[in-house]
Amino acid sequence: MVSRPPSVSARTGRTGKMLRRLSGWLLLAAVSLPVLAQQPSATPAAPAAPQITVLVNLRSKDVTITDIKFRAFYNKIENKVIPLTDYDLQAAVQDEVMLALAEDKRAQWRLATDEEKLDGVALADDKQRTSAMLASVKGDRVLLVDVYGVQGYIHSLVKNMVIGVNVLLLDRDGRKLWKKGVSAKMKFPGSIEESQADNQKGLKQAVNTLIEKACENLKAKVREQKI
Amino acid sequence: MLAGALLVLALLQAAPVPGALRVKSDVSEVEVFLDGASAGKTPLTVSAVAAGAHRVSLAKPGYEDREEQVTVQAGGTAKLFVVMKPLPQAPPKLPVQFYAIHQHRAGACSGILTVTAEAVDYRSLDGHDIFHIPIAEMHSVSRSMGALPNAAWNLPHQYLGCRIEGPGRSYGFFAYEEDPKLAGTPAENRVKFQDTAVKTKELFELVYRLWSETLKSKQK
Repeated sequence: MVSRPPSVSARTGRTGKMLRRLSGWLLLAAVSLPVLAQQPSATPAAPAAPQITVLVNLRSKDVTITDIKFRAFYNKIENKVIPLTDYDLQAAVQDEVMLALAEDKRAQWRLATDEEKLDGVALADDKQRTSAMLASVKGDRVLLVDVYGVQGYIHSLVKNMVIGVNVLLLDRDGRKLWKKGVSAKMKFPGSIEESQADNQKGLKQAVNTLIEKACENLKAKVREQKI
Repeated sequence: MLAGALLVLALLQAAPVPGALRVKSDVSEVEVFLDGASAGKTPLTVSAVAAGAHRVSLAKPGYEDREEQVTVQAGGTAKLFVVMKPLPQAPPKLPVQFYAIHQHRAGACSGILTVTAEAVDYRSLDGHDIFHIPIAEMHSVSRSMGALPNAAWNLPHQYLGCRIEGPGRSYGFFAYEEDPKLAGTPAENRVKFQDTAVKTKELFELVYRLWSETLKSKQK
């Protein structure tokens, strides 16, 4: 049998088939590319940052000064409570805490509102705290900043001022995820009399410095923890 | 091309780097003016403030206006904390008399406490305890339980007396609202501490106000 070369028509038919197949592939590629581009990447997306409600609980708006006087036969200890006149301590602490937390981008921080009706004292107490207390919370967790006092210690050797804060992270069920103590210390501004002159200028400036220092420490402590 | 890039780089380097200004006050919601323009209310952080000296004015109804000079460093944050001074209020009508229980180291007595612009005078009902404490000589005026060896940070206010430290001696008082039928009879055993909260606070605020006006700060 003598093999015949393929006819022109047959040749054109094969080329046409190839061309049609190629154009089909091209068309499929053109259609699928934008679709593929829209599809999410194979790597899992980072989870959304949790919303954390920040509650600042101020146990007292006053400064308590423990005045210790050494005598020959006895020591006299007295706790003097000095109300800070006109000082909006709650607003000052809240502002400084939120400013410190804003730098931590692992979560979205928002201040608790009055509508949420959170009782800071009860929430700080492990025995009193229940999940029902957090039912109104708008957020994934609650960061309780429990400021338990601004205290001055004055005696012949040392004159100090201290602020004490407990920081607790709670989940929606009222479970304590962690608790950390934060404090800041500085020298007491002069004598009791001097610190209260000029509408308590010295005392108020010292309290402001303590709040700033405590919030710096709070920022560092929160950064070390899981949220 | 290279010359153009160098020119842009030089311009970027020459552009002044702004700083920030943080303004706080003891009273919240104080209007802040930066170089005469309203910047907001305290507590406040103003970003993109040109480096250099700036004039910060603070104003709030009921308080004296304040003006401060602040220097903002390039790329830094200048901080300002201002203590507002309330406008002088009408002075209280003096003298004011209070029925008061006077704390002793052991026990107490009751009597009349008279507050004048110059001094606090006490006279017990039986006349055995009489003293005169000049306001200008007071060392401190506070709320306190007295000489108690406890280090509680926050004592409940309703149990706190008005503590006056005079030269060489401290005095503790609990003021109370007297029942006219019982006036003149000893009160130390019939008046409960809980019922002294309102009048004691009133006494403290009056004496504290008079005393704090006599104080001079260390800076002065």
